[in-house]
Amino acid sequence: MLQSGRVSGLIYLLIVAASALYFIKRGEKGNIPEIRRVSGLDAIEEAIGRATEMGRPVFCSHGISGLSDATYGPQTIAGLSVLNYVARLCARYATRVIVPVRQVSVYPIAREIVETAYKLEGKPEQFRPEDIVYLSGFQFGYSLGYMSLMERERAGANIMVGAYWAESLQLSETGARVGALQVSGTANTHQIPFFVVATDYTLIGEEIYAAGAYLSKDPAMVGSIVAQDIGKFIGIALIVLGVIVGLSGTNYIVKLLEM
Amino acid sequence: MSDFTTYFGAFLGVLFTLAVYSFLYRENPWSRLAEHMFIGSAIGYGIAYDLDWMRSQWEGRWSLTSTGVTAFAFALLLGLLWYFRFSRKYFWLYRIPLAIITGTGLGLAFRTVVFAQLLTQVKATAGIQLVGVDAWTAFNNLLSAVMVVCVLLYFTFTVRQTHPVWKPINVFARYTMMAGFGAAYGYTILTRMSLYIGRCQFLLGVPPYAPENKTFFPWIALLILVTLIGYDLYVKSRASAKT
Repeated sequence: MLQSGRVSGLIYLLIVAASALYFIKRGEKGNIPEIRRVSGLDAIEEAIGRATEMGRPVFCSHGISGLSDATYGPQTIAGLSVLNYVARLCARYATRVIVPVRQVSVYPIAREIVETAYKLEGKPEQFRPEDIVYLSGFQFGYSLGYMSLMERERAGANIMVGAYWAESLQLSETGARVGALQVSGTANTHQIPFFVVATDYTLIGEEIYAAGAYLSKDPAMVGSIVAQDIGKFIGIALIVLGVIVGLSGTNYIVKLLEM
Repeated sequence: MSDFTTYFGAFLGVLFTLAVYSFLYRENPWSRLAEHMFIGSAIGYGIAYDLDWMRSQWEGRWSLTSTGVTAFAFALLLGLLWYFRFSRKYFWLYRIPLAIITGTGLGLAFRTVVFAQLLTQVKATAGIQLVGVDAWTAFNNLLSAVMVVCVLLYFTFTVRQTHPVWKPINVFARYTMMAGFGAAYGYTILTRMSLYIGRCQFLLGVPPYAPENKTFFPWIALLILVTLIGYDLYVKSRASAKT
């Protein structure tokens, strides 16, 4: 009944899913597990503070992916959590926040997040719907629009957290050119080098999920981070055991994973 | 007619390539023209493409059976719910299609992600050979395993990394990642260079690109250059007049 080669995956998935459910339920009861603060988050405050002093707008984007993909969707969600944090800080300091959007499905969410942030800070009248800009569904149309917008509006800070592809260097290079303090983060491994090179602070890989969870304190997000950690520890244990067992010549761990 | 379209196509191709490249100087009316044309045509193309896709789904597929017709109508109604975002009173209805799309997408991808993102890598690392291979390969394999473990530990967020043992682990993990990023950066830059060379070949009309491109290239380049300088002088004089 169970397909050979997929049993180990099923067991692993069940363990991680059960852990996530357990920690989410625990978090909902008020017992939210503690996760460490990612250093790049301090940089966001610094970037917004600097943009405020300069009287320039803050750009905040959440990547170019939608929400429906298992690999990239969570990056967008993490980016939206960061947007919530950024929008609240901007509302507090009366700084304009511009949100360039690529995905139609994410646009209403981004708009709602920013609008709510302004309301929560008691400044609903300062919310500018026109600053949540839908640019283009096409990757480079979006990128070109984003770059031009940054040049025209003279971005003071550019915060990019989410799933980015080839546009990562174009955006960060333009941000650097207009003198914006930039904080970036993506879990797309092949794009991290560009962010590391061209932006001031970079959240590497899974740090963006941790950042999103840390900022939102949302039980679902924090619970998922804890479950991910459990998954990583299982992975580490399997690797270490595999290396040790492999010394005997027959690797039972690999055979176990091939189940 | 074909001559006209070839020339017109070449003219537009060269014009917009150079207009986009002019952004490297600074944001200017040419780059703005290219930007607006690109975004506008991309949106127009997207709408036309979606409508065409919907029609192709209907004809010969969903329209054949009554169940198909019902399902298609249901899908259309679901799609229409997106537009409730514009209603102040019923805006919450847009969340229904959003939840369905997100849930379906995540559910479909879930079954493969465990293998693609974790188990394949764990299996490959756990199965490294340290015996029965030459010393260099054994060292290389062991190093790979240590690197993977250190990087995995670096990305644990529920453990307070205050104990002194974490410092060397994190430093080693960072070096590992930087080595990986450096290799990825070099590789991607090569690809980008290849794209740039391709665009230069386009401008110079190198086959398979239309030879007409090289006729337009110098004239359009000159036009853009002259107007850019003129525009810059105009902006500067206007700014100094204001002060």
